[in-house]
Amino acid sequence: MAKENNLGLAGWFHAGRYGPQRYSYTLQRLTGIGIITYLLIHVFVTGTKIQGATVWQSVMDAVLHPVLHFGEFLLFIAIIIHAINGFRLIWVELGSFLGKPFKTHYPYQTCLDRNRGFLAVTWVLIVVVAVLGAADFMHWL
Amino acid sequence: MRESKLWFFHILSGAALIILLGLHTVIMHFDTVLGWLGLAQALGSADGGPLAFGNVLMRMQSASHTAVYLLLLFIGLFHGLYGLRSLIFELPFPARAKHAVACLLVVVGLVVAFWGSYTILSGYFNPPALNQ
Repeated sequence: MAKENNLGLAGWFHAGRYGPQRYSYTLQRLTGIGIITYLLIHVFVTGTKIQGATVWQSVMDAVLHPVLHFGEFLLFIAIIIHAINGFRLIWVELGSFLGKPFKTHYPYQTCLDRNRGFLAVTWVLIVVVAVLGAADFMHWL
Repeated sequence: MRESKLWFFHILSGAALIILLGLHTVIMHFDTVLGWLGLAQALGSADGGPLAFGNVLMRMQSASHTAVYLLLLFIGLFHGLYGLRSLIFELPFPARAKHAVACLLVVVGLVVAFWGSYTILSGYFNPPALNQ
């Protein structure tokens, strides 16, 4: 009988020798789940705007509760990660920044080894935009 | 073939969302920076911030904001729900459960798309009064 090698959800986090690209990919999935969950709620919350200023203000007073506001901040960070890392994934999907094909000689390389610079730039960009956005979000600017 | 087309649209919608959601995030969360650049008034996030009802009403009545919201709603729902479906389909669930989840996601998508487009278009064509 064939061995079942689908690790399921656990395989997102560990299956041995995962590199930073793989964890970025896992983060892409986790942030994606958070963002789509928020979107479904967001449509109904912001839909109250058509009921006028009084209803809108009461809904905003509720969602600006410190706990929900912190959740919104986390979502904001999730959007930045998902968008900028997603931009990298689109290029990788299209085969860009992976270098030309090469012969396999020991020590073996994968295309992921050639993609690390792009990944590093992506994460620097994520941190810069997140810090700038956090400063605006928290009214530090 | 169908799956590869859907995956292609998933990537395409992701690229579109980087622009659309990027714009929406900048308007909603970078209002101080927009103020520095002199764009806060034009983009509807000046005087009391983007959540002040006057600014919400201004964006609601703007044709360009309405178009962006509609695109964001439909493209975002497709990208998000198809992405969620892909994640679920990779997990070791029985085929019938996967099929049921796929049907559920389509229904959720249609309901949210209907309600979202109703509120966006209603806000544009029949906006509430500022002090209602």
